Amino acid sequence: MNGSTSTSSPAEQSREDLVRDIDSSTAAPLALMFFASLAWLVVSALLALVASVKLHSPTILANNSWMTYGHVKPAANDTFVYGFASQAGIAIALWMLCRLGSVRLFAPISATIAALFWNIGVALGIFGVLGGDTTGFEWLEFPTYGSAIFFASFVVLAVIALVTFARRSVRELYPSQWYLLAALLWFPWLYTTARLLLVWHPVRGAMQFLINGWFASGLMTLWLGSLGVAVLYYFIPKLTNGGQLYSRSLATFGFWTLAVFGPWAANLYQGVPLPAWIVSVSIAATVLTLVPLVATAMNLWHTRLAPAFDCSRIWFTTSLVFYVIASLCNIAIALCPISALTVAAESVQVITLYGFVGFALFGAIFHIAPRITGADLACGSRGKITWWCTMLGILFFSGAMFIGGMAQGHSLRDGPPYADSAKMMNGLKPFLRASTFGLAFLLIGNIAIFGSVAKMLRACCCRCCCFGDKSKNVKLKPAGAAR
Amino acid sequence: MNYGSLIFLGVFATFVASWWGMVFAPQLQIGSQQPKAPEGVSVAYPSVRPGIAAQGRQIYVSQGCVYCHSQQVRQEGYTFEVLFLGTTNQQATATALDKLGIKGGAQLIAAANETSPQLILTNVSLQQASAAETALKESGANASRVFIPTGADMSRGWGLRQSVAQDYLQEYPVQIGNSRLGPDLTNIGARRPDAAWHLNHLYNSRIEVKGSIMPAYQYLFDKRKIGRAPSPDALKLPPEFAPPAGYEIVPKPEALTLVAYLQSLQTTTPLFEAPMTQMPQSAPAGDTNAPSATNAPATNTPSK
Repeated sequence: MNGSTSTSSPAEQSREDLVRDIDSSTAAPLALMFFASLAWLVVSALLALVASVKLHSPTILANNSWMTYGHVKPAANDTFVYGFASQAGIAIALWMLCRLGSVRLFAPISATIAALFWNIGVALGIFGVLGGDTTGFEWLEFPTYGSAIFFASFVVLAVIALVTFARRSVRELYPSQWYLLAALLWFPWLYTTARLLLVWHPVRGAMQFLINGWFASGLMTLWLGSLGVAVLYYFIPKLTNGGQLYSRSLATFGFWTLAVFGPWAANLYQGVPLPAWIVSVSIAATVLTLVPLVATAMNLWHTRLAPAFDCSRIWFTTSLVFYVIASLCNIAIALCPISALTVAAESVQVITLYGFVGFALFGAIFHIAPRITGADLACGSRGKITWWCTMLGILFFSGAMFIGGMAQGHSLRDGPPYADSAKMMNGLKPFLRASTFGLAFLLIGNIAIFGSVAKMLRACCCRCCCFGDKSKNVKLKPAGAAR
Repeated sequence: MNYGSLIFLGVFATFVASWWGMVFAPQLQIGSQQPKAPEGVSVAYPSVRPGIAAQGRQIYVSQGCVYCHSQQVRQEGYTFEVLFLGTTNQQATATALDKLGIKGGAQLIAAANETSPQLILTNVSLQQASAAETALKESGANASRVFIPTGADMSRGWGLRQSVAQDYLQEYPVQIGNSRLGPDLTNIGARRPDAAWHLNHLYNSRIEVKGSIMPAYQYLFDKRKIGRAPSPDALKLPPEFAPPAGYEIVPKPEALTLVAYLQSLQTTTPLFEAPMTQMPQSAPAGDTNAPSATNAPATNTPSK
């Protein structure tokens, strides 16, 4: 990876042309996926806000089956993961694979159509969940009609990504590509195993709980986590150190330890109705993810030479910090029985989803969107609003939920008897109110980034440049070197 | 690390290993479990839920109850108790009891021989319990040690024993749950056998539990004009929650099946891997109806 220079020798000029050519090949599918994923992000925050309000004010929106907590809560989670994070993640993966391989995107029209169907699948799935048509398994609630369309689109996009990867002109591989390749294998495997053994041909009894937990853990660490780490490995060296990674061997070590330990974790805690060895293996694997965490985080931290707090870089630094916090909290929760079955898990979920994955994806979107739309590269005020609101939202929400979860855990253990469980929940209400406050901040941040990208796309579409080969004619901003 | 195929193969191999470990091996162990009759019981456990309760489970799933209610009783530890069931050699047993440090030997022997088993040791380790049992048996007495599961869930009255994989064999989809924003429901059918309570609670949980944060499921009920005679199914609501005069609230089939499901939720059968020998502690009347131990095992401890 070489940094871009301002001199425009013929070689540099042709390089910039190549980069522009690559970017424009990804423009159509990425524009659609960024727009749709950020729209889902706003929807997700709205649903999460409604769910959160209901926990302390149960009479709000009470008499509507579509808005009951048991529908809104899973809909908010699924919208975030499948509508926003997976979609934006795979869009960014396509772009990174093109840039890293120095190759145009394979079949951009098919990718655009697949992205369209992806959103149809997610919309049907969310519609089903809100209407009460759920499979009953956490993170897998989508009814078959939604999940089949969504997964078929995923397969098309994954194949396009792999063909693009195979056609790369730079043969040498970079750590981001390892993670993307692995993630593109892990996710379909996790998803088909879980759907097959839970919905199509269900296994018996408590096995369902185990597979559900195994899928949930893989979804976070292997799929979204790998996408996040791939983004960090790409952008942190590129933006802060002229493309030089601190240590390639440390990256190799971190990658393979994740591949070895990560898939054994299954989100289990002491006391679940499963044989003890399964719970122990799962907890041990969760603790062992400390090894790839330390390797990857150290590597990226040492890479970061230039000041990392300007508007284009701060996303990735923040994401790196939250990557460490999220993984440590995840380990703490696996080891600490007091937090089992409490809202503390939601706090870790938000740190992982918004803090680590979210910030990485936001930063990548703010980096890529101007390059595919030809918009101004300067940081807008909306970027600042997004950063601050997301930050405050995460701090309020996870702080409240973590402390609240510990308090809940203690009262579940030593608190009043069952008869007084309403009293116990009332003790939790101040924390639940604070978490609503945090979600309101997250919503504002989400609207800001959606507005920012929507504005870029609108300007781009008004110049009639979003489709097909016409995009080549648009003068894109210099976008750095190909790698 | 410059070959895509190498990475693919490596990731494939490591993932296959975990798939064997976390999916296939557990499936071999617990996936092949079948309902079986516990010792001393002729009916296989768990039995299939009756049809109306099975329909109610679909409502439970579709309303997303699992996002706030778990169905797992967790055991944190265990202790032993020793029961004294009478003796044929009063002299020797009195000495043995004395040696064990148990006072009032004569009354205990009289009570055990005449009326009921006597609890002589509580909260002891397996070694202590076995030693006491052996000592008493050698003295010609009949004594037995009793396994007592302990934990916050047991002391709260959420269950008599821990939940194990066997309990869920007839469940699909399993609703074990990861959140306890509401109480655990493993034994709600035993704690709250009253259908009218459940219907009121579903209609508006604040009727039955002050300060409850559970959503109101009023869309599972019909509000309709009272015809020639009030419906026998109509809810009996306190005035502040009652509909306007001339109207009544009648549960829809969804509400009725859901309540049937909730009433069917109880794990009161002792299993080999989850022994349960303690009679329920009497709970405050009206708040927690103590589980009715219908399948109570042979070694219930006497009321203390």
